[in-house]
Amino acid sequence: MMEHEEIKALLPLAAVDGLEADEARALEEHLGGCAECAAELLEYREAAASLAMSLDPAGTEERIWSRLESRLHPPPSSTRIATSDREAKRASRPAGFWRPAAIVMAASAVAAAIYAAVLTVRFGVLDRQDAKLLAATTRQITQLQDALASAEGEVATFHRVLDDRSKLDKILMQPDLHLTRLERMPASPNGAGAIVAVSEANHAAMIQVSGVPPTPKGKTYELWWITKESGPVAAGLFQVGANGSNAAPASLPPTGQHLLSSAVTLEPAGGVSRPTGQIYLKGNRD
Amino acid sequence: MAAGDADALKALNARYGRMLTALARRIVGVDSDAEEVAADVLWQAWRSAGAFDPSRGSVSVWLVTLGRSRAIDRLRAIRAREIRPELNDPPSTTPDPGGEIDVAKRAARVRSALSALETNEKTALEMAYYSDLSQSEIAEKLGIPLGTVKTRMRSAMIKLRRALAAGGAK
Repeated sequence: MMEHEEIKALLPLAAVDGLEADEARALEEHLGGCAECAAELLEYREAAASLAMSLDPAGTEERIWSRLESRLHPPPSSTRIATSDREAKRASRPAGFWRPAAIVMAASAVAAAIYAAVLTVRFGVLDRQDAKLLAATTRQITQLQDALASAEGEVATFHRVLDDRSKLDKILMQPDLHLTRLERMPASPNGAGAIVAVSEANHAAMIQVSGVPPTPKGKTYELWWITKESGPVAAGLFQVGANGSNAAPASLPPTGQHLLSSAVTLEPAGGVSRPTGQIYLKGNRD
Repeated sequence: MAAGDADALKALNARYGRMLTALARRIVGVDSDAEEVAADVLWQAWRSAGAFDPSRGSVSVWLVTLGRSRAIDRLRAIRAREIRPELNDPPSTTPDPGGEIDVAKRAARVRSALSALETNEKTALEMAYYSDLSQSEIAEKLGIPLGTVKTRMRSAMIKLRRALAAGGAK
């Protein structure tokens, strides 16, 4: 077990991924119980990231945006897939999908009624009773605004989940589909597993996990392509909720490299360029 | 951003797109690949905004960390394809979009902090940050012991952190 001062000496190098594997593990264990080192590491990471900010900006905002727009509005693959998408969305729509929508509609109706009441007050005589009503309506409006914000957040989350599922469905329909099954490793509970789906033709890859522990605070699961030429290559980050499952997009395996296997590790939030945490799932390429 | 709307993505691009492209360009050396890396990072950040943990640093740190990781992956992929990076591509001279004044001020503070480092410290730090070289490989390239590389990098990071903290660069 390394001492606090020894760990502190590692922090400057940790911020630039300059630790040996055993040092990185010792640091990870130490950080969980040492707020001082965690805060200091944060400052070193800010300093390391600032290196990028010292460079003259490059590229153009328009060209980067055109690349982003092509992802926002990808060309439809076929009518059949589009129809299937709608069916998939209907089939996979969570049971509670309409709850936030209902909250939004109800909140809007009540807000309209309150607004009418406020107008009434504004045009009437503002006596003590009216002032109380105004205070009460103000409180209600605040509560409704909170409910609306929460409901909109839930709707956005559902949209993201539906998009991811839809994307997975698309990949699963591609003729060049390749599936890799990831088996549980000792860090995972019994029943944990994942399937990684890759379609080069669709320029897409997804991972569907189930039975893994919920992502701890300050952590993220990270998918890795393990190639003969480069070893582990970061493939994407994903979170897992209380139900232990998720479908998440991933980057394609590096072009021209020999993919040996895929793995999932638990890493610090934001991800890392090389794996440092425990392996939860792993599977060899057929 | 957490809501995942297109305006948020556009705002992210306006604020960080060219900085991320510059970082990726410094690492991969190819303009088109650098812009693709920047788009990858912004897209991933936008899609997985829920994964952002403010307790682990600012948005810019998160994006730069993602950007460096993606750029190094791209560099390895380029090498695997045996494509020669166009190292002498001139950088774009498109004017900064609005809202970049803060970034420019911060860049000036960082440059000032970097200029205060010993040359050998700065070399070791930049080789480690802008490449996928291990410290052993850096030691070999520079012809110095591994321990010296670590000492120089550690010293550089300590000075950089102090200088930025004193200058208020966040």
